[in-house]
Amino acid sequence: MNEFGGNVMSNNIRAIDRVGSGFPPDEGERLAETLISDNRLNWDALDIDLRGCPAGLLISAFFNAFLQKIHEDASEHFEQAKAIKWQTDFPFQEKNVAEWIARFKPQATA
Amino acid sequence: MSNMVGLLQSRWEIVRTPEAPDTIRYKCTTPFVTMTPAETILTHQNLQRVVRRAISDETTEKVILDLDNCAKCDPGGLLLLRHAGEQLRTAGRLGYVTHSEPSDSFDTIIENQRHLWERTAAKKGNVKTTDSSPAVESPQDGKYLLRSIENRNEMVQEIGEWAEIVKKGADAAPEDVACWEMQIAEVATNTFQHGRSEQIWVSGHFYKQSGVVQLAAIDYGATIPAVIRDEAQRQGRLGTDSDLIAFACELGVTSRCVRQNQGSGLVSLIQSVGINGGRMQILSRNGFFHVNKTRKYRKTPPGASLSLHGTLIILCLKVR
Repeated sequence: MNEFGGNVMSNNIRAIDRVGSGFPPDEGERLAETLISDNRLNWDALDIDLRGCPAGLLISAFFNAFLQKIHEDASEHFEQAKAIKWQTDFPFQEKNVAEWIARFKPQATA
Repeated sequence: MSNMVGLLQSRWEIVRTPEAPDTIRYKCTTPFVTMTPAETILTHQNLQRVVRRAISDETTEKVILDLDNCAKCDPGGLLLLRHAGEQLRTAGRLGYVTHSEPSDSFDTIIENQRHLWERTAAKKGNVKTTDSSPAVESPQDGKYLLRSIENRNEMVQEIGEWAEIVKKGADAAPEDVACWEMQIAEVATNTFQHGRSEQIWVSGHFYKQSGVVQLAAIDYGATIPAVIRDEAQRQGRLGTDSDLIAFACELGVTSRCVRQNQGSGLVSLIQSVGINGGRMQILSRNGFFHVNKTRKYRKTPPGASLSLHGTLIILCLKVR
């Protein structure tokens, strides 16, 4: 609730505030966890700003782990997660992210 | 690749001297330690011959690699030298490197790996270790880089530090450096996830004139052919070790040992190598796979003459 008593629905996320510089798949999962646990989040038209994150973090394993975690723990948001708009420092990163997300197929859990 | 078979002769001349019967000196007769795919295979095979010979001969205590004729060593070569040094040290032999002219690459391996390879002013097998400065822990601008990553959680940070060095030393565009960071992080992550290795060694060098960054990573975990074998069998794609590496580099192929894996890491690397005009070599167990802008090829030498108990990946990328 905000100071006016209304819901603060956010759809602009700064990734650098939510992830560290650890192992990329772990950080991808961590980003997913922070989104899943954020009850103020508006999953529609979600915009995640990756600018300022280390380039070595933004690899395929980061995004695969992110989507897999959403699929496992919040599957109702999986399609919305695939439609997230990612802002990156460089055009090649945006292109890579779009390709990795388009290719992603969730793995069945044991 | 067929002409490579003709090159598989020894590039290390053995020099034994009566006054030092416990010492074998190997004189390198090639100007490069690696640089090309054929040289990578040769370097590894020849160093393994050196190691096998030294270990099988009980009278050999010291091995000297005389690199006077060798002008250049690339990051892949540094890792292969490091690997051989570790094998000798594990078997209780002493390894020495001698190089008369100053050389950044050999200085790097000597300074960083003094527990494996000592510098020697040896002539005719009389080993005299020279005084040398303390081991270099941090890479310096413009120098070769050689470092182990022992904690996967520090990988991104370490790669970021190297990227800063490349950026400063190379005057490279930030976007190109970021692309390089992404690529080496793909390699290292793949290694930690699929090689099931606790430690990897990474080496790099920036060639200022050509604007090329060369990076190499080696691990001693499960090899790519071993990791991908079950999946290849499932898909009816069993083959040589080189075939298995090539299979692992196909889109969507994954060992399934990590649940979120999509089989896109190596593919991303290959794509960016193609766009960038660089090249990538993978040597794992007894297989070899090479990709450049125009083609992909594989090589499995007869027998088990590669037999790397781990995986070496060498990337060559243009950063401007």
